Amino acid sequence: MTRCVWCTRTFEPPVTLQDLLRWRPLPVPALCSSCQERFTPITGAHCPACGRQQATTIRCHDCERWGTETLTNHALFQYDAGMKAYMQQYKFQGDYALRKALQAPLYRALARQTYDVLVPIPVDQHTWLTRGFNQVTGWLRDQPFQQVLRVKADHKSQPQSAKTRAERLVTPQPFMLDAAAAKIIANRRVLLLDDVYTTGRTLRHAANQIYLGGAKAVTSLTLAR
Amino acid sequence: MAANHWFLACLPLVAISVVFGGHPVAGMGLVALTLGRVVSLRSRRTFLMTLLLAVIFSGIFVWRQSQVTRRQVSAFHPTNVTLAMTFQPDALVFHGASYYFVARNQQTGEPLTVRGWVQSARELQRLKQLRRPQLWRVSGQQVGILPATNFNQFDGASYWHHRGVTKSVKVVSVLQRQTAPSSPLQVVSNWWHRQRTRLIRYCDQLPGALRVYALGLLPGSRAAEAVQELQGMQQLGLLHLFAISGLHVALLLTAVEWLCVHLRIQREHWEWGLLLGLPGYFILAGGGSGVLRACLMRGIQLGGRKIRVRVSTLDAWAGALAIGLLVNPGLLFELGSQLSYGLSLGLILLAQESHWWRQVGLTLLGLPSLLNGIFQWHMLTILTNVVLVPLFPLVMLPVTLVGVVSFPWLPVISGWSATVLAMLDGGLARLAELPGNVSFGKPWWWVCWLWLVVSWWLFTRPPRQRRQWLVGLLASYGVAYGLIHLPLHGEVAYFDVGQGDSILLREPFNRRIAMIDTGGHLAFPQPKWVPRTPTTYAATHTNLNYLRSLGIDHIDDLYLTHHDADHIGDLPAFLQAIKVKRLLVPAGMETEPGWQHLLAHSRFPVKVQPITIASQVPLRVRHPYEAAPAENANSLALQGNFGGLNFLFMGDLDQTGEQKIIGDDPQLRTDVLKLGHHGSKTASAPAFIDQLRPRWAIISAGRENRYGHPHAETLATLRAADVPAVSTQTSGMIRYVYAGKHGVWQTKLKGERDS
Repeated sequence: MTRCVWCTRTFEPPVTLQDLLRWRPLPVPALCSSCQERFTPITGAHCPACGRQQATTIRCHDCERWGTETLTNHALFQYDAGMKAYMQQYKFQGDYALRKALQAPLYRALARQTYDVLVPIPVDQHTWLTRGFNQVTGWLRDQPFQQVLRVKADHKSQPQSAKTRAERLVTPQPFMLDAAAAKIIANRRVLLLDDVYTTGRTLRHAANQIYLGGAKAVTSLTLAR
Repeated sequence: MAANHWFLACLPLVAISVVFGGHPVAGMGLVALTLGRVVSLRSRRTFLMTLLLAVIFSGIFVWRQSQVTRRQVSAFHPTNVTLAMTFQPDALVFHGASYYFVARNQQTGEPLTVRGWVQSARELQRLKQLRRPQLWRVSGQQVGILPATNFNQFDGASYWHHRGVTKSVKVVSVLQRQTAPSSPLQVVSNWWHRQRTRLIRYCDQLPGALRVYALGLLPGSRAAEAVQELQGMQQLGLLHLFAISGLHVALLLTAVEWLCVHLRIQREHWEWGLLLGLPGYFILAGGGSGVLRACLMRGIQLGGRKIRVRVSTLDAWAGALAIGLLVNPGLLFELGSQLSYGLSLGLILLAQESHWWRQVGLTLLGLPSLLNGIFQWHMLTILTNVVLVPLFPLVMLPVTLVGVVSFPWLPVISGWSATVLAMLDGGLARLAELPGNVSFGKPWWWVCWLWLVVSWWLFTRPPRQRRQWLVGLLASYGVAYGLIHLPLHGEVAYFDVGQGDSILLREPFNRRIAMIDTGGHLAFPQPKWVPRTPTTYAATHTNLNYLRSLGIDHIDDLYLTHHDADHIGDLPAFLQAIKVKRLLVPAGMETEPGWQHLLAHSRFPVKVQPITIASQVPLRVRHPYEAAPAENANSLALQGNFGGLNFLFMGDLDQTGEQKIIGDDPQLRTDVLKLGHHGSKTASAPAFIDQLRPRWAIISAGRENRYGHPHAETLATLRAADVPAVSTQTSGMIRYVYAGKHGVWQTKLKGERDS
């Protein structure tokens, strides 16, 4: 009997011949099919820079506005009502069990990326104390990652999601590098991992810090765009 | 246990049943493979449960096998017994004046098949009115069930052994008939058996085609006319999809559910009703393996819901398979269950596929079983599966139900239903007549397994990669077809057709296919009160079946030695089924009116050619010398060389004819002599045997035949001449398989020496 982590109803997990004929445990999906459908995967044409779903494959308007401050981001799902509801329950209501819902797609997406070091975006001290977990590392199963970024102690703890676009864009650099960071990221390809790409401000701040640490290349992956 | 783990836990049980089914090496390999798969699930609980199940099932299989071995008796030597047996009235099946049923020995509880004959119309009427469980004391002859006596024939013995039955009883007289005492536990099942009996007797009065459909779909019993009526369906493979595989059960249950929902009955109520009614419906529907599977699958899922455990469809399938294996450990080796379980698994696992791929999948999954079981396949099956399968739930089932229900009040409507069904049958039969029937022949068993594995494997690939696998698979079918149809070896085969003759002469690469006689049975006139039954031919199961298993769809020369029924009686079966290029008869027989009716329903025009010793035909004709009435005395005698041996086939020729032959050719010798007239003393004179000096003598005669063939005098003659004799009575089918100048003798049964 399998129970959906989101709606908590039992469901019959779909089984395929491949799963049965492989020498592996049967996959246990975390979501029932109707909860799965609340997420809209980004497929087909998307912005090459930020990963947003669109009809063409040229850089989107928002990316153009960033000018030369480029960053290549990939995203898994569209940031629509379903994803918002999920983030609300997972992040803000702190439903840690929901992390399992997106572990499998993230696992597959990470397997497709080329990188040497995986760096999740950190949460600040206040969030740690209230939420109790980092929503980004929750989605990881056993993939190795390096927590080389830290949130500066003087950083004002107002969540990005509570700001307007203009307010976000003027956010000062919130991150600093860990003392041991240089050894880990020097001359390596770094992949940043975050939950949502909205304006790209946070990821660009993080990327800048990583470059300062001597990384060869920095790209990013987000669950939603 | 996690979802779908039961399914994988059940696979080792299937593998164990293969071990006990006579394939120890292949079976152990499968056990290792399936257990390995369970280990790779990395669930300790599933693994322990699998081991536990495997141990329990092995124990049960060992116990059942030892029981069957202990109960086994000789299939050749009947013993006179008096015994008491119990059975349910719906088990009685009538065929003309004979009846047949499976009973239990009251003392030992051992199941038996029983056959008997009614003596009068009144007795028949009385038996048809039985409604309560019966306890009969009978005296009769008990004998072991005969295994298949011809190569590639359906093996009745193993069919019944799978069901724990080892003996059959021929009733000589019924000493006492009474209602069996029943315990309170049996009250419910007795009630359902009574209902089934009433249903069968009720359906039996329905008109025409409706009767066949109603009997087959509701109580699951075969009308005697089913073979003729459903020919089109059978040839197009539709029958296998439905009647055998139990899909109609699922349809009926769905219809009941739909009805309950639309009558606004509360789900809680009707679900319990359905669950409790399923065992009863299982009895009512005849309890076949397809019905069992369908009822179990539905029951397991419904029962799970009642105790708030969600059972996945795949797990329900596995549960049905495990219980099916307990009921019948040989399930995997029977066509019906192969199709029932295989196709339902296909429907579950291919549910996500596109309609087209699902059809391809079901066809590919059914094909190895069908070719292994019935040796042929109609190409239109694919088309009919797509077009006609929806006809079944939409037309055939509703029309049948309406016809059945309306019969007592509005027989007119039943008449209409019968007409509609008959029209459908006719249309299907005409469709089946269209070219496209492939006489494939019987592939080697391991090739069938391979096809099945590759077919499943095909569907693990994404659709774009499947084409190359599909092409490879079809190519392998083509290669198998070629190897079956152009065999390197030839053969001379003496069929076991009971009391009669039938011999196949097949040259390597099937260059020339000839037969001598078809076998057949004497039909005795029946009293007027005996219900008429459609004519059936034993050839369909014996020699004709063997030709089909070799993929043969034509005979170049069919020699008919003379006009007796035990030699040419089954000729219509051949003329209807395959193309016979010419019939060769002893001169004088071609004008005899007595046997012309046998040619009446031939599918192809028949050429009859009279022959005498002067005729130029592929075989050397040794008799007759001139045209005469085609009796034993004027029988054909034929000679030929095959695989480095000389064969002489004497038909029913008597000693006078033999004298004439050796008088004509004093140098005549032969290696293998088919004795004249089934080893009767009227043939095989000592002088004839001494002159021919054969190395082997073949006797083609029926077990326990009424004439006492072969006669002691003939056997004495052979002993005196030191000629070993092999008889179809004890050896079953005898064949000499050769390539070039060398060959080997094979017999179907081990055989006891007659002389």
